[in-house]
Amino acid sequence: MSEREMTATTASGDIARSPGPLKRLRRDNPQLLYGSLIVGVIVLMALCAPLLTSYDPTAQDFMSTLQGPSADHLLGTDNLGRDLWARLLYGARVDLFLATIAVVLPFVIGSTLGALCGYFGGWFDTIVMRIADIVVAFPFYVLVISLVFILGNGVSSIIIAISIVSWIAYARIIRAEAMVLSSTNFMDALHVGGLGVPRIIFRHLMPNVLSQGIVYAMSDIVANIGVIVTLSYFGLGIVPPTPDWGNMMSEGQPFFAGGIYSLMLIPAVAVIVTSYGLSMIGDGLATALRVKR
Amino acid sequence: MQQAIKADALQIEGLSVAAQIGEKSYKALDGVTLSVARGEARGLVGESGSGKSLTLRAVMGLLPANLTVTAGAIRFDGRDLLGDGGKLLHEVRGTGISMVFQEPAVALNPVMKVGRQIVDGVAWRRGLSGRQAKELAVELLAQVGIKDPARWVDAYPHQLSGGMRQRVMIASAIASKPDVILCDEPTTALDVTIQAQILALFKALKTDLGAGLLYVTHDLSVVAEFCDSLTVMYAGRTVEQSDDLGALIASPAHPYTRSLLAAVPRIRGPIRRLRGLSSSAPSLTERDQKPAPALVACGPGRQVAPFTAEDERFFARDEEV
Repeated sequence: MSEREMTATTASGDIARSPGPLKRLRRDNPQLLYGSLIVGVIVLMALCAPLLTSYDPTAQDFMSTLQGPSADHLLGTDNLGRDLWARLLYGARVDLFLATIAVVLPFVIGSTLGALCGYFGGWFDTIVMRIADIVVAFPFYVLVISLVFILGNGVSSIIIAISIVSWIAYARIIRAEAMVLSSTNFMDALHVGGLGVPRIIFRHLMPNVLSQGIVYAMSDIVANIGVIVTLSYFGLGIVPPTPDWGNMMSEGQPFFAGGIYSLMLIPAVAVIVTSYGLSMIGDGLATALRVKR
Repeated sequence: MQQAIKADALQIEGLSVAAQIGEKSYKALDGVTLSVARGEARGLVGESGSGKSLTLRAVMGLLPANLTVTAGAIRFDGRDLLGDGGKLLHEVRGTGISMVFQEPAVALNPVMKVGRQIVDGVAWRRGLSGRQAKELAVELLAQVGIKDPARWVDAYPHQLSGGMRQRVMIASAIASKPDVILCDEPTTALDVTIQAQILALFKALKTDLGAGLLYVTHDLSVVAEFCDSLTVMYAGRTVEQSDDLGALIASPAHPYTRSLLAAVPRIRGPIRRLRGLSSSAPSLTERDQKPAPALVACGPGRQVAPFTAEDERFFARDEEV
């Protein structure tokens, strides 16, 4: 009996010692796992949109407007008879793609400028940081909306407008980290090694300071979804009839008072769930990317 | 006779560094003179704040923004490193001269595998492929006494013990086969047994590589362990130096060296009270702003700073602790 007990403990001990990567992730960093699951499912649905619905998101059908959920229309139809499920899926494509691109560009520009500022300091740092101060002196939405207004509606102007404003957060985060790092022995050791400045910045400095920027990028995607949705809600940015969660909401709004809540609530829930998933990834990455000393 | 053969790899002559504090300028280093030959291990001792580490940083061009070299020359193989706006210095860093820092934990890149970072500079300069670089890294790790180097080459610094990290630091310092290695208290942050191992490693490397070592420490027992020659610093100045460590210890010429050596506790001989240094160095702002007098030869390969009877009395009033 005692022998059997011993075998049992060794067996369970073995399992505890070498859990699978997924199990280990669930134990050490559940946020990253569940966040990735939520966002992964949404991204997959957006990518496979044509497989998940046979409706064209822009096709109008005046014989069946404002219907409730049914076997034909999973989530019902809007005032023009367009299938809501199809619009939700294709809208995800537009919003997620835009939000991601509008993070990548400011991330690259902001981190590079921030690293250069933190490393060199001096007049370069002063100029870049004063430009940043000027940009943030304007209220965020006022600046973005006027930029989109000047550049004209459309995908590229949204990306440019967001990039002009949001590189600053990355530049400031990375600059602060780079300044701390530049004053340590670690940088001295690199200089003593005779390495060139570009190599020091891009090969040694950046990998040490980027993690904070990456974590911020996740919450920035969330913010961007909000911005894009808000812009489309105001009729700026994405031009109807291209489906997007923002213009879905704004088009559903007139019917909200009439008791038809789904037109507005369905895309709103989609925004909330996606943002929640991305925020969880952000928190998880903050844990996972912590630099060990 | 020894003098004639010796070709100095690194020569520091009359090096003065000024610190700008507010409107005023103070002498942080004043006329520091010393030299290191290939295959020589020179100890550089002094109290905290005497300018030992600052001397090393000046050689490497790592002075903070408010410190500037005001006079003197730093020569590597006879060529002045300060002369051409830092071009030669940049060329020499990592190839001719390298440096080992006191705290290996903060001098290594925490997000890069140790194997990659010790050969990073060399691989870049020689254009080594990934495989060649890794082979070199394994070789270097073996040379600094890391067992099973093929395994540790892929480790990150946080996975290593303090002693191993210092070995990794040393490996990256010797990667380019430098002529001079500057050591800034490389064993101070380590415990005594590890310190002994690292000192043994330095001893072995000195003979293997034929490099000159400039070894900064405040621990005279470390000097006695493996240095050939000694330079003593006090308040930013060279006080006394000798190419022969034994001769200096046997008969120190400067009163400060005498009281420094007298402060070393002795195990053998009659029991007596420990002696301390009462003459702790004046702070930067209280130092003598007159230029330091030139060193005077006082024997073969020996120099001492001139001193007055007043200095003698000042340094001689050691306290009993």
